Amino acid sequence: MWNLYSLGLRPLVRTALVVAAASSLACSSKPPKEKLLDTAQTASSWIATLRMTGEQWGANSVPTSFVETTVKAARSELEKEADDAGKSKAPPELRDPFRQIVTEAKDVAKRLSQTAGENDRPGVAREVGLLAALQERLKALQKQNGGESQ
Amino acid sequence: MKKAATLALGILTSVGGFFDVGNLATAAQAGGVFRLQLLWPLLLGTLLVIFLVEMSGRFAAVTRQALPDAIRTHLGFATWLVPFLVLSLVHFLVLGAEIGGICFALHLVTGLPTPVWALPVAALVWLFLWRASFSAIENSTSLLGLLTLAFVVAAWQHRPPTGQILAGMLPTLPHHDPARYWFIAVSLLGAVISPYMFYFYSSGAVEDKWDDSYIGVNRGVSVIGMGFGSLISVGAIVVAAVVLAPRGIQVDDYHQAALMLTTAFPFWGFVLFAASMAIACLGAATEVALSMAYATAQTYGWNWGEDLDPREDARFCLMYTGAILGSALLILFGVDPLKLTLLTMAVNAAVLPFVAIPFLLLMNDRKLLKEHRNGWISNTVTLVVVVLSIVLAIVSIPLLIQGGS
Repeated sequence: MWNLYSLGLRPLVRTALVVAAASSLACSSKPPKEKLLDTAQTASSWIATLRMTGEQWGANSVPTSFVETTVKAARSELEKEADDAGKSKAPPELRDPFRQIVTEAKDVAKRLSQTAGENDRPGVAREVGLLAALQERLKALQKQNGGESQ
Repeated sequence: MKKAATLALGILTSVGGFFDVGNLATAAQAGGVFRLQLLWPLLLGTLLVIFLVEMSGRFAAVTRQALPDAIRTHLGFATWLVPFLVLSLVHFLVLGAEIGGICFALHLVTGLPTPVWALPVAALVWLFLWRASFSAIENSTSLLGLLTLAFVVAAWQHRPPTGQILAGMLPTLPHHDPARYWFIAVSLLGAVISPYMFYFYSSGAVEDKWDDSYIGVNRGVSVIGMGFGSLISVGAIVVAAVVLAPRGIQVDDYHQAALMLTTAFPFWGFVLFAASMAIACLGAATEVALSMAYATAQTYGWNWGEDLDPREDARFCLMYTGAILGSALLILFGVDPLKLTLLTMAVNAAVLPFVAIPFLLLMNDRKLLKEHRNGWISNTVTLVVVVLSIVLAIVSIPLLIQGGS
């Protein structure tokens, strides 16, 4: 049987490897609720990004192509987060409303891209308002469950 | 008079060339999540990089040798082999991250997918290296890089709270998300103390034919150039802290960072961001590709020099050609540029001991450097770098798993 000593590694390298491996193991196990709250933080950040993108488009500060590509990136990330939430063992009172908010955010994002593509300014302003409301709902859900919204 | 002009140009190019994709990504992440709390790793990194760059320039000016060349000659090929392999890996990853940054900037402007730009950008970087002289490459990209001062102007316009800026310059424990906090701190340090930078700088000094009379110029360029250059990264952290953090935006994707300048410069902010990113990354990509070719050529004793005709140093040119192509393939095959950048910055921090220790040994060689060898201040600082980099090497692996996920 081999061990770290038989590998002939120098003491400093051996210690570094052991510390790194132990810390990796310690870091990788988080309770499901905490993991989902982390996911919620990322989702909240993407909803805020979509909101700011819509606002800046309305102020003529970003082009329509940027709205479209940002929406695409955000939807793909929100899709992943909805999937993660679906598989999560977190309490249903956190998991289900979170999935609902993320699904709604994906739909709003799609409409944001469409309305920007049609140069429909009131339409974009409406979707920005909906994103603000979703952001507030998510913040409240995070707070209820002991999460921190930055 | 010539020295004064060299000093002025050197300072300008150091300021313009300081900011690259690693600084942008880590500053945007730091400001977006921890506001002004992570200014201290940037300041610490800047202090350390000033010493390292000054030493590498002083070494090249006194010995007329670049670092890899000197390490191989004086410490032996076997001693240099592992640091060289580690340095090559870092060069490759950093080059991929820089090419990814240019591709993303072009994606922002055109709307075309980022991977589509990988090969055209690789061709552009290669053509630039193939056709231009060393000074043309160094001066043009770095002077254009002064555009990145837009982050400093934007930070100034936002009138950030001075008290919080000063508080952020002192190390503090995080209020939330400790794994992420330390991962970003490590990445910020890795972005500032890029090992390629001081290896490239020493080769550049040899290309520019520096001698002992350039020691003062070298000191001025390192201290003033690097010091002011880091102001751009401070500006980027401040802008992210003032614009993104209050809105709840943390940077997990470059699309999020692209909004940073839009409030300070309505209409132009988006274009300025894309242009700053493209130019900063183009400058860094040319430097990293050259640095990889320098290190390899000097390790194997090949002819090298950007100002030589490619027929005179074919293997040197082949090296940067292969490096550019290989790194561009990472982006072509869909590696996320931001994730690649953050991984690379953590790796940068982890490999510092490998590249700093042989450097420290040489800097104390009485025969080589005579009265210009390291004094106790430089040795203490380099020792701090080595100890710090060993600690970083140990912590950056688990932090990469948890904080960077």
